[in-house]
Amino acid sequence: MYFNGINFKDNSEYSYACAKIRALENKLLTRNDFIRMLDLDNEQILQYLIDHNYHVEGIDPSDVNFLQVFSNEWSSVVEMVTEMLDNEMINKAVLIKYDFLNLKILVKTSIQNDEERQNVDDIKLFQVTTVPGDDLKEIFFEGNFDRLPDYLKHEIKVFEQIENISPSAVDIILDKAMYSKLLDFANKSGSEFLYKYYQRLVDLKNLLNLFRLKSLNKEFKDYSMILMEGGLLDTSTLSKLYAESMDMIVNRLHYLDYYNELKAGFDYYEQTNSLSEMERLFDNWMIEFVKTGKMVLFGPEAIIGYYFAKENELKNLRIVLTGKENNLDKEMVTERLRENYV
Amino acid sequence: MAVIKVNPNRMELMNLKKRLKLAARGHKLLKGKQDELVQRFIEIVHENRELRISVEEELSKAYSSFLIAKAVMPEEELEEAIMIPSMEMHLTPGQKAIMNLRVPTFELKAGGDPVCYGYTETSVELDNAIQIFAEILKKLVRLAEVEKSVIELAEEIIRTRRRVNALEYILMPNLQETIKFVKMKLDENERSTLARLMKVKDIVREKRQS
Repeated sequence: MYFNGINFKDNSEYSYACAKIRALENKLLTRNDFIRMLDLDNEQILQYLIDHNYHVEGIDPSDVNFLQVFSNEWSSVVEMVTEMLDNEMINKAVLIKYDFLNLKILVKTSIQNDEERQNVDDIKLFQVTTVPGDDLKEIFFEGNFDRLPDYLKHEIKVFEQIENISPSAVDIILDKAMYSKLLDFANKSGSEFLYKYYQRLVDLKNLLNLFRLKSLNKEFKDYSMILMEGGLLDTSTLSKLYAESMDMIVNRLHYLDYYNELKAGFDYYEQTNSLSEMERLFDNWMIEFVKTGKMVLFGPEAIIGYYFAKENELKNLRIVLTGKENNLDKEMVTERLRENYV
Repeated sequence: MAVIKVNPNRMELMNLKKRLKLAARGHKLLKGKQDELVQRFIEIVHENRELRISVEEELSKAYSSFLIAKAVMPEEELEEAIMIPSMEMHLTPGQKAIMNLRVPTFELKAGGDPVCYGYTETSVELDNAIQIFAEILKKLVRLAEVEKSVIELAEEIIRTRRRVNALEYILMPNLQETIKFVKMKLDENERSTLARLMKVKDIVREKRQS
């Protein structure tokens, strides 16, 4: 089920981008770096990040706002990756995640009580998207939806027809629409790697959600509402599994590539009543999948792989720094670190 | 002990004795109330300590999970997920009496799902944190109720002890001293009247003999 290694398409237009990515991959942080960071002070961590090509211009070393550093870094990574890919569909398959996040924020703002609703100018949205956040905000509140791409226009119209919608329903509708569009754009982009990545991601999300909802004692109708189409695992199979006990579900899914992760995650759940290990192991499995893209000499795979690797790196950095800032147990922090791309 | 300024007469003595009897009865009652309050206080302090330990442990777990969720999810996604709470809470304040002391009570009615976000783009850690926070709320309200009761009871015990001490060490000894003083004064008056009468009798007897 893994990506089938080297392909022989003419992707030589990616030769410069791939060479650059190979150089940047050497600057990615390793697991040892994260563990070492746990014992460093903020200034030393900042220096560490500078050594690994992080953009820290204008950051005061004595009072570092790491969240701002990560946000800036992520924006620059997204800009660089989309510029390198230079493929409208792949770019959409990467960027619409943030369009949908912006849309969720706007829809939720519109359904908030008058007392709770924040000022329109104070709403902060992602700018590196297919529709820049400020433009989307203006369009959303003016109601001039014709200026929006079809996939966003369609979702706004869905919300216009629903009265008294709950906040979780906003997320559910937009998450399902987002993954459907991500798969659609990945398919249209011609990148088999990206399409397979999203297929597996949908499977793992569906599976993790199945265990989450069962652990929260939710009914099947709740699960059926969030179940996403487009993965390799048939939704009807997952639907049938919902009635089974958790250990039975694990046994029935023994044929999956990620069965070991599923089993280990479930064993941890039985001991601690927490699915965090399953989530971590699924994230690791996705990183292992992304690593297969490294085998392609010239092609978008290496760039896409770097994009996901950087997303994973920032997640690990946030885990380390949050743990440090709040004096969380080191063991608790290290056991939550995700697998590294390098 | 200080003697109360009173006219040393039988009427006053009777009043003082009545006051002493009343003070002794009041003292006994207040002493009983104080003992009962202390007993209730100890019970409620134990409950308070157990509740506080359990609430602090659970809150610490919830905050750890929330911090990990905050780390695993980008800040913007986490803020979006918990932007609008879907759980509704109604807190009704009331009062109940412990030994005639009014202490506050809170009745919490919670409705709705604590999970106010979609599952697909959120971390499992957030579920853990939200679940603990939702479960802990009832305990937190009970803790507020118990802690306020502890404060009220402690103040009432101090007030009652002050009254008991005032009766035991000031009012009752003063009354006893005053009664003693009035009695002595009355005895002295009686003796002086007797001496005067004997003297008068002697004079009358001398006059008769002469």
